Amino acid sequence: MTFAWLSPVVALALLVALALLPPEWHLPLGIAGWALLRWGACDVHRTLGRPWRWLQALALLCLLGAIFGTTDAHLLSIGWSKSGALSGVTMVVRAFALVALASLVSSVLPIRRWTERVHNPVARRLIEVVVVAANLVPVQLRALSTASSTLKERRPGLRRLPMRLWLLAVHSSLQAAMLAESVAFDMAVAAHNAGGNRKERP
Amino acid sequence: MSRTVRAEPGTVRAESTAKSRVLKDLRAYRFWGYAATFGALWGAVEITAGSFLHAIRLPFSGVVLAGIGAALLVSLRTLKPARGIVLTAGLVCAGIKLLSPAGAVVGPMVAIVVESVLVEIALAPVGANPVSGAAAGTLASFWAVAQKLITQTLFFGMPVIGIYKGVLLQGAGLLHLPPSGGVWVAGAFLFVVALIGAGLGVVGALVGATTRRQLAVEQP
Repeated sequence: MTFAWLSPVVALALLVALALLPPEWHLPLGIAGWALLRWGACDVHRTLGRPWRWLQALALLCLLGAIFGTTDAHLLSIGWSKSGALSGVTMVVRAFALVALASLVSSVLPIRRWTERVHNPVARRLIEVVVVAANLVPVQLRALSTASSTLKERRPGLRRLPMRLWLLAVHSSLQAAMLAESVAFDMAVAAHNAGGNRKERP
Repeated sequence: MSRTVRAEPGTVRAESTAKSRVLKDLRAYRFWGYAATFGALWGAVEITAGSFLHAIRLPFSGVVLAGIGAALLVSLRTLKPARGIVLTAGLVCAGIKLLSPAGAVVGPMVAIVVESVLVEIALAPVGANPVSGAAAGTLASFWAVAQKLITQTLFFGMPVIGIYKGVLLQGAGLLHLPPSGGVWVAGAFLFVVALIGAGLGVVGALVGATTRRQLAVEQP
């Protein structure tokens, strides 16, 4: 069994176990499933989010379940809902299993191969533009960072933050508009040259 | 002895035809150029502001991010008033997200596409102005809340709705409202969400108008 296939097996096993076993078993099962993926399928595990975030979700949902659920237990004479807290555990383990399944599905979809097969001119152009835009992201990031630090130097202080944000927004918009003109020009020239080359070819 | 080089009349005509064709194409390519750069800018903002807002655990960070995205799209529509450009920029940003190596891709992609569809619909009747910008921002921020609720219900199951009902009742109790006052608490929450989205939408329209004026000064 490859590591990638371990993920759906663990996820499906968790979902079936959640449906069949009593709520007391859900937390140990969830921990076992997480450990299996953590050490058995590291590549899949990386896409499942940070363990700390899962622990936070578990604590929060158990707390909310214990407070808002039907009171069926007492601790130091304070009534709380054991069934509510357990349903919080079930919710987190179910979510973990579904995320494991969804992340595997999205990672095995051959999106790049599908895009190569697209022949519709508008969709083709859109894909080309996405590739151009993906290359522009680092440029925009650098520009944003430079503009932000320059504005911070020239207008320091928390009181000037709204003005800084406004100037940063206008500057980014202006820079994007000017970049759009140059991108459009490059695309027009490239299309013209491609058309010329096609005509020259026998 | 000086020599004068004269260009062939045919060559000059061919060059001017090619130049005029490139200029004609340029008008069509501007649509794609603006969609590409504003889509990339949205992607960059998602990376920087998104990481920052999530890191400082600001309440309503999803709503603020949706509002910023809507503001960017409203500003784009003010600069380039073409139908479909907002949706195209949204698709470009979603495509960038798809190409990114980050783990969680589907949720943000759905959010980006739906928000751009909502902004396109809000701006379709009268174009971009502060009023339609406010409507666009409100719709986008409402979607951020709705998507969170839908995703949580899908992944955590129906008990999530029960938890939210309990939180609303607790809120009503804290504000000394009757048990039916949970509706007012939900209404107040949605009002705050709408206010954030609308405010950012108006800012987007104003940024777009200011940028257009600046461009007109720089390229008379």
